Amino acid sequence: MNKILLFLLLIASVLLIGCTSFKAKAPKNFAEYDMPWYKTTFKAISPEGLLYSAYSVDNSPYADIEFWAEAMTNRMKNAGYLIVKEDSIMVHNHKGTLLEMATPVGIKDYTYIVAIVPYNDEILIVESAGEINTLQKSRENIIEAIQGIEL
Amino acid sequence: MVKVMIVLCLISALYGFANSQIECTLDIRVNDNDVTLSQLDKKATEVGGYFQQKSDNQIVVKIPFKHFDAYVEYVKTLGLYLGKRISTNDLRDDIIRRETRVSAKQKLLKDYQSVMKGADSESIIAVHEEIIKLVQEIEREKGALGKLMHLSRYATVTIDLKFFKRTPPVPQGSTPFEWINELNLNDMIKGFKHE
Repeated sequence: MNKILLFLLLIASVLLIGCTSFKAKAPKNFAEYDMPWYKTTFKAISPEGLLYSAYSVDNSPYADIEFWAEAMTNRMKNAGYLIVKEDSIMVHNHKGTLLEMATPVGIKDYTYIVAIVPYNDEILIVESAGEINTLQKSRENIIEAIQGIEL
Repeated sequence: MVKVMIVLCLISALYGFANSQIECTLDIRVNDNDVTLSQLDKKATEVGGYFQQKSDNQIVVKIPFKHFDAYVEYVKTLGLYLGKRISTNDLRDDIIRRETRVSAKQKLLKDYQSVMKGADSESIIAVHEEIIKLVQEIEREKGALGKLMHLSRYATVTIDLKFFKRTPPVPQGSTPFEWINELNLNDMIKGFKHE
């Protein structure tokens, strides 16, 4: 009996590894990657090469969005990213922060968007990046996709 | 000295002089650099300014102080506005100092010219030489003053259409929070290359 229980627990753990506590969809005109079952990051890409990914981390030490927003903004500023915009964003009734940055990448200039949303005991992290002018055209679709994530 | 200051203030009010040297750098990103550079040059001319230098990704223009704010707002409408940096340098002291020196030297010149009228043949040569030196000094001071007035009359506006510093951001952070330290564009792009 114990062996059967142990076996069932093992199967359940293996099945849970690939599960995420959020449900994301690709932004409009993006194609979703078919991720291996053990990976918990959502990824999508547009025909022009715009990138979109979502994953979650433990909210540890436990803190609110104001704390994490300040920590993240300081880190990105100190790293050399140009902060273009900092806004609050609502994702499935949870308050988050969206940071839009600009930086050179090779010969091009890129926009790098990071949205963080604390929920339950986790933090949802959504990243999107691409050439500045190209991303501007899809910016609304990207924001909409972030706001549409189910937590 | 007080009269000089009053005159300067009146002139400033009349012509919109800043009495400050203004340097502003604006960062915007646009779809077509050539078109935007032409638009910026044309707008500068329209408001009574001119372009100082131009390259594929940058233009430096001189804008009359009174049109500075409006020009900055115009630039923001041309593309994705990333930010601006402004620095000012107060020129009042320099301007007043130069004006006072010109005034004093012009008064001295008048005195020398009065002395010339009653001078004997020997003294005339000496006075004449002093007058020449004084006239040269006055011209030099007026030239320097003119340059300062020009600096205070026109703001220097640099519009960058691309990052000129191409150093990438630091990839790993050093905060106490692991997931924040790992946030970086480079790793995000690499993550997609492995799919």
